[in-house]
Amino acid sequence: MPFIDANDNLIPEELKTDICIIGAGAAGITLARNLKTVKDIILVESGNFEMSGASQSLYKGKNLALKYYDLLKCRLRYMGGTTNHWGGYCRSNDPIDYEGRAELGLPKWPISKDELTPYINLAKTELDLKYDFFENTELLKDKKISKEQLLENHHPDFQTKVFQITKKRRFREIYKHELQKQTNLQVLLNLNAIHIQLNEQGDNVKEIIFKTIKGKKILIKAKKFILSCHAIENARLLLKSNDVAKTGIGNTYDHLGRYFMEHIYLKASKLIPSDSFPKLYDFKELRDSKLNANLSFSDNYTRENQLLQYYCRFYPVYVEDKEKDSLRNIKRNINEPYKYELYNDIKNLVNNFNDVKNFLISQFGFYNPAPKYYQLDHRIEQAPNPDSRIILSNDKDLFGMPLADIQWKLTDHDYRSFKLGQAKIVKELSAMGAGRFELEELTPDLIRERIKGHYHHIGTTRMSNLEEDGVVDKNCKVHNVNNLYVAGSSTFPTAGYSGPTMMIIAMSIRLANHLSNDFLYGPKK
Amino acid sequence: MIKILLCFFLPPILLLRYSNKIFLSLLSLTIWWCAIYFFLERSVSLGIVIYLALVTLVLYLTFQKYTGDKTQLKIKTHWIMVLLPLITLAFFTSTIVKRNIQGKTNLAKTQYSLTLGKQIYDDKCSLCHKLNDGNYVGPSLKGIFMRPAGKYPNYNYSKNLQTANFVWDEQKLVTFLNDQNGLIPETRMYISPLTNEELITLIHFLKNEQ
Repeated sequence: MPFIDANDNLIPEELKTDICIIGAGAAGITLARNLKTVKDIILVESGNFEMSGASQSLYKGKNLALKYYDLLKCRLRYMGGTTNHWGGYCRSNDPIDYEGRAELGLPKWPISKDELTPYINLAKTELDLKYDFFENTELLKDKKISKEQLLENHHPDFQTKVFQITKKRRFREIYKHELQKQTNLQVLLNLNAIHIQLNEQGDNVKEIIFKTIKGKKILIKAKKFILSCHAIENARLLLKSNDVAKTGIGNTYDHLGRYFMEHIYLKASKLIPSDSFPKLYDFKELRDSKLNANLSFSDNYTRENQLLQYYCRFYPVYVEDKEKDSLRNIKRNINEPYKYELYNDIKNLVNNFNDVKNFLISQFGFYNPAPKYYQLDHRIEQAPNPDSRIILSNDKDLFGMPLADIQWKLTDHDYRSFKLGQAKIVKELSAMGAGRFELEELTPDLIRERIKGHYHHIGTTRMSNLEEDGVVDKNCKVHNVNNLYVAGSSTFPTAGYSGPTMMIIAMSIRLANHLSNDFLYGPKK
Repeated sequence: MIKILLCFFLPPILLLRYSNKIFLSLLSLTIWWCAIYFFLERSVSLGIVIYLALVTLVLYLTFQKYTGDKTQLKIKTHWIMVLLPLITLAFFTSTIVKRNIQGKTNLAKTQYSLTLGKQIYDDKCSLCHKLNDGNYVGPSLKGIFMRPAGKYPNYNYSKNLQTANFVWDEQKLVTFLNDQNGLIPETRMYISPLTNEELITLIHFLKNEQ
């Protein structure tokens, strides 16, 4: 069925359906496409097919603790959701990610690796990824890179982890026609969920109240509801709907909105390379061969040393920023009347002639000369932290809904993993004679000042076997609410090593499969 | 021959002292005037190009002088000798006068931090807009100043921007960034409010990146 603007007079003010999916991003679209056996599905999207400022403005929110990205910027509220700026980096979780390590506060996933693998394979096929995630031989062969260069061949504690990059990124465009042709599906645009109404007992969702920005109110009653509005929004909607469940839906044990996690990174320390530095890990070399490989540690080493997942990148630096600025300034000023700065910029370049020459050679793709140094880029998964959370603000959006602010905080496990990760890289590469390090001590202050995230929003409605430990169960159903499900990275108990989107797709296929079976054969006892 | 070559690379005043050929001195002077005029008043690159072009021309003439028909050359060089110094001198003096009148206002320009501008750009704009060619979630910001609104190729603008009839300049950008819907109702863009200082810093950065 074609996409319909919810403001259209054809849409009545009350709708009934089998499954109502809220949010048409990676999870929502995957769910809708895979619920083929369900007779009647409504997929609701707050935005339109194109981006609109009014809809995007509903994502306003403040940073209350560590400086995070502007919440208006790091997620997109229109058809396709945040896949509209997805980089396409895909990798399966590692076996260690599912284990749970109490000493780091990492809970065990209620789903095992074996249980999830078939769905990961389906997601992989869907995204046209052809290589194995754990066995790199074939991929490296295709890229004409010898496997001998991998550092795990020199030291068993290392493991090179490779991301595959999918071209199927913009779900809005890729699946537009397929969704339009799907006969059991109706896509309503410009419709915002503003309240989840539970029944009096609080164990069933009676209806969800929606509004359009133009003011039309629509009630949807469904046998099952799925929230797939993005990690922060899922928590916001559940926290906000607090008329029956006073602390928010699924929040009896105060886990809702907590454990907000990111894949954090920071740049610190330099490596002045020798000839023994393995060029395979030079990030520019990797980029030139369209490969994203990172130096990480084996599961055994990570486990034994109680580390969070850690990996390191080596960014070649040919010239300092000052010289880059000079080059840019010259490029700009050369077509302007002469200024004294031009003389200074040219003088600066002449003084650093060798570096500038190497930089230009590398930029114009002749070959990659040895850089001045490598900038180390340390990356870790964030440990779950109950204080890293979504908090409802006193400020309201245009529907009168409280905005979601973010309080992003780290723990000692995060600081420790950065520090030990760097120490291990330095120790082993120094022993190999790969070069000389100019180290910066990774103190909590330095880390807090420099960290950044990847717009990977994970946690907030974590999955757990027991209601006491989380918000949703292993089938993504909110504990003790019979017909409300949550999809997306908000359900992940741990952040793991990999970017979340492919895992979101895998988990959504699994949820769709579970719900399809429910509708066909009735719920499993 | 050495003197002839020198006249293109030494200031004419030096050449006047050493050369007894007024033709070479005047030609050299012309080159210097032209080059200096463009170098200082128009564009450094254009100044260099004109300088090289004139050097090539004079080298050609000189080559003709030693190999070709001398009578024809005489007429040509006389014509160039009179006209070029006059034109360039006129340009040069007029722009110097103009610069003296306008000069002081240019010096009063405040210096905004480009680093801070980049931070604001990274924080507020970069995820939707590129600074080089090509669209992303939003249209490219390359050449935004003096670009007709809603006209960057291959971007699906909102209806109101498609039909907008104005050109982006500093003032329009400030108005738009302060209130997107105020300038163009139902536009696709929405950003967190910026302070006045942040706005000016951002615009300064964007101008610098063009």
